[in-house]
Amino acid sequence: MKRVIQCRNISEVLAAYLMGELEPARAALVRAHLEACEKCRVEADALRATLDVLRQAAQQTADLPTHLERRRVEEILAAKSHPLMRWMEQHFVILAVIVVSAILLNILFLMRRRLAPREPPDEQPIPVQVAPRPRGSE
Amino acid sequence: MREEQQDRDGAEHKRRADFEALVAEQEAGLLRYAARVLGDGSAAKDIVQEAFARLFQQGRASRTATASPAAWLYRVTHNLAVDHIRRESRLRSLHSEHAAERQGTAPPIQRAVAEQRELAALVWRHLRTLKPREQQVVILRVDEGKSYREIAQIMDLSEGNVGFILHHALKKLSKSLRQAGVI
Repeated sequence: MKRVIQCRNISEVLAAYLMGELEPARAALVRAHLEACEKCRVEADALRATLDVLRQAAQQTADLPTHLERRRVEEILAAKSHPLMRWMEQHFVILAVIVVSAILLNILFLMRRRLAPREPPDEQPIPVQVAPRPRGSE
Repeated sequence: MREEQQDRDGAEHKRRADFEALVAEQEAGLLRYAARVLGDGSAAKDIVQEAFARLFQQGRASRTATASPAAWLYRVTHNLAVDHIRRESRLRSLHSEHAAERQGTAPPIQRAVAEQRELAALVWRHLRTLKPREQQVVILRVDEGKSYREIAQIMDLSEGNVGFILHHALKKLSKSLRQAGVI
């Protein structure tokens, strides 16, 4: 049972071990286990072979783009260099003052409207309708 | 007033020059990464251009972007690539199914006779059958040579998570390549 747990623990760190990411003390433990355990050695060999073919595949860079065309770089620079963007960046203090002032004015306007005394509504005369008298009642 | 304007123009000129130097330094790695993840060089260029544009437009507002622009660029490229994959996921899964069918019927390919280029194409095709996150960890580690810490920073994961994902990705890939007779 102890061996099974140990193999599972080793399996979880095999990739890190093969890529040199383990501290020396833990790497030594894994190395010692691999010397004694054939099952884990087979697993380690398979992972090593996978890493080998991946590294070989990574060497093939012929079909990959290597640089952005000048046009694309110019597009990025042009987007940044728009006069309005440049003005906003250079005058961000003025911009901040304008925005804050606009917000404060808006708040003041709303408060004035809310605090202003309300006039009572005009009293409208209620229209009275007189029902016609029935005939012969006089 | 004129001197002030000259100073501003000088600063703007320097910023552009610094940015162009950063593009020259980082573009190859970012393009390689995006092209491996997406399997499409043209889409990779669009995504890397967008990442650089974001850095140029918003970068100075972000502390992480100014502290480590390379890691920031990889992170944005990674996020844009994930969005792209999600948009294309239906097509991608269909492609993977067809690829799996072809692999099932094809005879095992012997390394000794396979051309290096064919082998590489086959390996990347198998890699693209993994989950996007698994693919990205493998590419960042094996192709880009990033450390666990750098990958964790780029993908917003813990180093432990990076190790876990990488371990399972390699095991899956190992099984898939063994079944296809590649290893």
